[in-house]
Amino acid sequence: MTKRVRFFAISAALMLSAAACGPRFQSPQAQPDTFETVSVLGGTPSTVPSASTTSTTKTQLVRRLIGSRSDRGFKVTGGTITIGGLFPLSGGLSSIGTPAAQGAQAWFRYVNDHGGIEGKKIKFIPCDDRADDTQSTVCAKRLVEEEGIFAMGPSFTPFSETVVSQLDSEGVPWIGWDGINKPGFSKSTVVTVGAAIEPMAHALVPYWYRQIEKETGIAPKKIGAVTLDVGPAGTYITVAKKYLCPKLGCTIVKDQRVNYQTTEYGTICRSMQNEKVDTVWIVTDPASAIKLFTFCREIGYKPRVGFLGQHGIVLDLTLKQSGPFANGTMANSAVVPDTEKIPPVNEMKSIMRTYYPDVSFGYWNTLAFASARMFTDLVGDVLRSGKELNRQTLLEAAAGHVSYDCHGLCKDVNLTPPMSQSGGNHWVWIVKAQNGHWVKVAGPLDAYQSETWPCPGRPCA
Amino acid sequence: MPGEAVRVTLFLQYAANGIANGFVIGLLALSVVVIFRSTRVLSFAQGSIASLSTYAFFQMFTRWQWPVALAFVFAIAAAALIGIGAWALAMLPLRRTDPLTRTVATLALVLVLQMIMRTRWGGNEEFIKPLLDSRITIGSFVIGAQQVLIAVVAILATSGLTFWFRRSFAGLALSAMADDPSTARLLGVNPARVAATAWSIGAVLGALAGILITPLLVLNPFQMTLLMVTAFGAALLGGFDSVPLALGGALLIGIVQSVTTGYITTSGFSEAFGFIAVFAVLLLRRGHATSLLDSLARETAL
Repeated sequence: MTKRVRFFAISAALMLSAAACGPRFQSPQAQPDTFETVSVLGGTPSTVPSASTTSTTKTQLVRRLIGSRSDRGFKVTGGTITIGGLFPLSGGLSSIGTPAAQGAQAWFRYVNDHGGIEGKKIKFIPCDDRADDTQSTVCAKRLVEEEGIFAMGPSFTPFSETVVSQLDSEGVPWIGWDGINKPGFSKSTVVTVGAAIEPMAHALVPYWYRQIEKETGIAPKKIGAVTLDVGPAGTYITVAKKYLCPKLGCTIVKDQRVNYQTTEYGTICRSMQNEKVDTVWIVTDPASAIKLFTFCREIGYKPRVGFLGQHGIVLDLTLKQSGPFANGTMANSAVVPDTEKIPPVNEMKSIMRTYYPDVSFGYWNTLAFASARMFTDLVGDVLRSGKELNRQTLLEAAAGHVSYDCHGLCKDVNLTPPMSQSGGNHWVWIVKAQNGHWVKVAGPLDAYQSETWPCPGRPCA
Repeated sequence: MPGEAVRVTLFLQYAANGIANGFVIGLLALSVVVIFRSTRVLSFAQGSIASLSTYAFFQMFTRWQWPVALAFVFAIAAAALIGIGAWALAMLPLRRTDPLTRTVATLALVLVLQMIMRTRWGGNEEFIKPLLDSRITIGSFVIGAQQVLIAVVAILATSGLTFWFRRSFAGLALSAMADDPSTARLLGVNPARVAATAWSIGAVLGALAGILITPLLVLNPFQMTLLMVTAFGAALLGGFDSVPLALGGALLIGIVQSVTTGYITTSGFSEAFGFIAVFAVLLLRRGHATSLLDSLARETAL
């Protein structure tokens, strides 16, 4: 009897576990306030084999034999353009992923509500990849094979090493990719208005360094970095160690790595104080930055010249939670800061607020909004030219924009893929935390003209 | 020698920073101990119960803008109800099964509670502003008032709990039920009531941990569950029986994690070193220190 009861109990526990993991296609209820009218994918990696196990050769063979399922979205013939997006809508990076998804979604909804693009409506399907590479590949596979997406659209997936190659091998264009990792910039199927970390670092750090030198009369020589232990954040530090500091005369005296579970920020602040660093460079996500600000404020520690940030923390939320203590923190943005009182920004804010009244503005949703708008621009180019809307014509349309300005939200971006060769976006705005907002203090600065840029005036190979 | 003094001060400062974290881990560990001691069930759900209670506090304090004291009292009351609810829904139907079965059921409870939180509040990170925003300076030591608050509440809760267990009939009933259920029943102890009380107290302890630490961290459905992993290490040190040893283990973990962070810049090391410290002590228990720790555990058991 006991054994039977135990069996049933364990079975019930397993069933409950399976139920709690969510359905295979997660309903919008996980983000009830975020996506009212679109389906949001997410879910259970165990139920879908990883795309990374599918070799290119195998895919090609299947394509030849029965026609690739992924080719379902190769061209658009009906009235709906189905596109996907990857965002961390839950977990450690959701404070960035959610506003980013909202930014893209707001523009697509606005376009649909105003008649679509030449009569065609956009069906945008964001998938929650939880900033996890495995989940990103699962999401991408589902979007391509089950949803039959025409292209991958605006996304924020910085830690997915394999998904760019995965989609590239399938021939799926990624228009509005924001993944920071280098592979994305070197693929001929990827188009982005986002800038790579290298140019952003070369614009931010020299500007900040000279500014501090001018204001205080003493150059900030000792930098303590608090770095989220992921590739893109590490790139900032690598660039600083290899190019920026040798040229400027600074040193990264401490590079404290953190992860989403790190709780010892009090000790981190204290150790930075002990090292007598001139600044603490916060190379993390917003949530980790907020924890750092909170603990440093708790113990009353602020470095000599304050904090230095980077684009990863440029979100209203960061400053709202950190209060005036974060004032003076400098960071960078590859798009126009949302605090600028100019028509393109006002229009963006108005559209976003229409669909998401409580949206938290910042770099990420401005970039996603601009990316979504770029997508509809390219689709519009193809449709208005009378050509068939397919993946090839979409990429050709991108190559036709060598000085794209995101309708006033970015500057002089060459959309010709691969972006690493064409240069992509190398214009950077410098923002400073002032009473809860990231306010522009300089820019747009051309990173290729930075005193530390190793290939003056052009992209580095 | 001044350099030596600075190093010592710095070490002590790092250690002090770890104490607040240690107390939070301690409260979570105690929530496990209370339930295990009374029901022999190792509850993996305490982290999720703590998160849910903290979400309740967040809803009242941050979203509805209730005064902090009112939100705190209601959140603690909600935690007690959540604890009783968890027992009634997950444990009561399995009351005739062995503890192992019920322990497995708590794993399902974790997932169900996380589903509830994700459905109600989403998977986003939320923030709660610190309850105290000042700092306290003692000599060269500077420590945040929120951290001091955590320590004070944890000490009060632990002392109160120990006193209640040893002096009140209900508290003694909990211990009696664990030691000799048959005799306890003959003496009029109601096992269902004892179990419900234990779950309720466990939930309140978890809620205290969550409400106090979240203003310094972030609120999401997983944060407290991750802290629970560490709390199990602390509870293990006390053999899941002893309040002081569990609390001591938690402080050890908190301090070792903090000190490790101060000297090692690689992420992940501090978490690992906390556990290494516990394992080191557990290994000691096998050797010369066995009798000392075992007798300590026996003497300080609830």
